[in-house]
Amino acid sequence: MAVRKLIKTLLDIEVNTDDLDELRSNPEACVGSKADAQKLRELFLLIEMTADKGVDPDAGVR
Amino acid sequence: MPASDDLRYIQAYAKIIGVREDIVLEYAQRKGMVALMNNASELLTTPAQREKHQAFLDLYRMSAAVNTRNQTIDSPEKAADFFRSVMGEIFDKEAVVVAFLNTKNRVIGHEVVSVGSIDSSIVHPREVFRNAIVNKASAVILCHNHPSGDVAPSQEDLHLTKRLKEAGDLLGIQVLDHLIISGVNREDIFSFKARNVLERRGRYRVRENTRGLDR
Repeated sequence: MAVRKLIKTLLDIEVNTDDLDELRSNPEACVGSKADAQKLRELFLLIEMTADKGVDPDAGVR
Repeated sequence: MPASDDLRYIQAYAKIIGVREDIVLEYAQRKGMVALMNNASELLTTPAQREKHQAFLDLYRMSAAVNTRNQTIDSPEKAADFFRSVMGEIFDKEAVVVAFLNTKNRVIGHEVVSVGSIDSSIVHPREVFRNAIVNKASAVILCHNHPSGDVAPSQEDLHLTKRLKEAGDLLGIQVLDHLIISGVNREDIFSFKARNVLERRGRYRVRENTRGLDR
């Protein structure tokens, strides 16, 4: 699934790219408001913290 | 009460997935933090929460952070790159590090087992496999350095490798490889897998010209 669709599902915001590096490093340029940029930052923080906890990306979920 | 970074994690997860913070906190205390991602079925009660959780996991997998920190190791060269990155500060001493891998050979953790000696009386299988079991690893790769620069294995190295392989076979945790890295140039490596001390199977490929193998 495209990154922008996943982000729409998670944050209910529109982003203008599927480039994860761009979304992470320059969120203001990828969304329409400061509030949405802050939501993106919080999402990438959660991803970073999840990686720090050693969560297995291939684990079955659910 | 969870540590502050755990609390921050719980708050971020609750906000993004749309679950009440107190419910996430109770679940994490009961099942552990990692269960929030790997075993959240009891926590997520609505289709919207489950959809968000799945979307997060998909994004997590796609994230560069995951790909760089939790790399896949499929050759002695990639294994050596990983160990060089985690052994940077202890290269001047003889040190043993073990990497824990999942079924896809993705690194899910590592541990410095010993610094100062690789005597088999110190590097005991229980030390190597204890956290492999905790991390639910499917395989391990062991690595130690020779500060002298000579990567030729000693009899002790060979004995240890065979002992670990036997223990791993009993536990169902494959010893994928055991590397020796030169402590001088940090480039030369010896792979017990390439020397057929460990079985060649699965996703881990050995090139015949792997550097340092014939030393």
